[in-house]
Amino acid sequence: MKALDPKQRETVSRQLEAWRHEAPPSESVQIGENIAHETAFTTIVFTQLLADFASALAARPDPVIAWEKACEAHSFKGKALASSDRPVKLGRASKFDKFLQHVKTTDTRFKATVTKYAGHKKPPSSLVNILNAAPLGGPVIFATFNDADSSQDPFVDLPWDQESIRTALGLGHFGSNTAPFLLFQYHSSEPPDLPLHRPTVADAGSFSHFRPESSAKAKWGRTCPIPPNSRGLPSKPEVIHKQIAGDRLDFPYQVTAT
Amino acid sequence: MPGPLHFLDDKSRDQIATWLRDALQGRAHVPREYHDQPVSGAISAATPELADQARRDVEAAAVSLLGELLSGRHSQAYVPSLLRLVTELDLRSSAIPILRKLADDIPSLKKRLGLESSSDVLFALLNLRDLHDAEYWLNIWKQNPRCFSPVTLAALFDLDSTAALDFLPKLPNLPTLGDLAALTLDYAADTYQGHERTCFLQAAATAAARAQSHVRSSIETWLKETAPPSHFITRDLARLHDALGPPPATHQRTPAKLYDEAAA
Repeated sequence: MKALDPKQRETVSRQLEAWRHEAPPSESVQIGENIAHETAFTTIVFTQLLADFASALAARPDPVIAWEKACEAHSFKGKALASSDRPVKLGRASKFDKFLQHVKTTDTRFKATVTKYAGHKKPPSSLVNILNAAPLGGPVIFATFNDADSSQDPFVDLPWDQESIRTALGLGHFGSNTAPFLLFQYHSSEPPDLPLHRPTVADAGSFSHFRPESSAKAKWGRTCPIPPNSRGLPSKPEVIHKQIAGDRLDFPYQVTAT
Repeated sequence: MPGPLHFLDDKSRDQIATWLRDALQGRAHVPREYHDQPVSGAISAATPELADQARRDVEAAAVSLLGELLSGRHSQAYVPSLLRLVTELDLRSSAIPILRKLADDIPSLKKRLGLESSSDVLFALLNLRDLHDAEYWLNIWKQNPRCFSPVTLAALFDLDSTAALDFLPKLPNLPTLGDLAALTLDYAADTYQGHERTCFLQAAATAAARAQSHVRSSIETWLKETAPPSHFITRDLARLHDALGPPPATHQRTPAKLYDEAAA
């Protein structure tokens, strides 16, 4: 903050203060908290991010949207993982809604067929081709991996029910009654290597269940299990990468039990 | 615990309409369940948790925005998300009349929304279970076979599998259409059992033989992967296959109970 010019510093400080005292508190409070605890950036990058936030605040009435806009230019600024640290197999949780935008069939048909072949090592080639062609996520994809052996199933240490996945991966906001999660595994290291980065507040944008890693030296981030976490589920490692198609998918995928 | 869109509970109908328009264009914040969740998915998942009046206002605002597609006052930026939203909110009674009007004039629809969104409009109709009849869809298909083949294929299989199988040889020769045809057949096959299923698979094989190369290849591959050749050799073996059912899942889930026991 000290490196910002006085006007920008005042603008950003005022907004962070407003978020802190918001009543009733919303998820914006956490965005401010996260900014305060981010350790991944160099001073230059962090200063530029906050300067962009100040400019965006001047141009947009919604401060959360202003934050999202400022973040867009600063994605993937967390440290890249060294070759020796790269997990072999990545995993991510998303929902049917991510695919239904791209797949040209009816929702019912797609959901039923994907659910039917969950757990199959060899689903029909037609389904594999369709999943391979669809984007696996948005412009910034958050992924996890297996802490103990990154060549193994990223979700093997978790019960695969809806609530446990939501809790351990820190997927928030919604109760456990919403649609199931799709759990995908894919490989990161076959050529071309997929660049992986430590996630930062700029990658998380307004997603308030993100928590920045407290150590500046951490190679990757960690999820924050959602309270009350009655099973004591572990936090999971977290990296990010750019949007990819599903052609790196490994089968089987899973659909969580509700 | 308040739902993620609880801040809408205190807003007026006009404020909610403004918020929705902005939200669908990325100009107003929408809390997400996962980081890159589509905005339509996040809104539709959270809407049931709203207070009754706010929920009704969100639904009315979505329908009102949909109506703007008719008058041409819309922004193209929110069309795909809006069509997904009215589908996911299952706004059948209020959205179907508007979607029908849009679909009634395909040349004008294509001009107004572009080909991709025109197909999305037709899929919205289908997802809201407004099926019409086979002739309706075949007339739409003729106006751009390449673009409207997926929706016509899906519609025909929802209506009448015989008409749908007859349609397979008409599909343009594209690998993606072959994959969609196989996926659609897979779903359709599961609505049959025993001998009827065997007959359906044989009819699919016959239709595939008349289809263009990519479509034929995808369907034949699917038949080999999901139905053993015995289906087409003897009825007894086919019965045995049916009795055995689909192959078991090869990857076992970790039941929560086992996890708890291991942790203890």
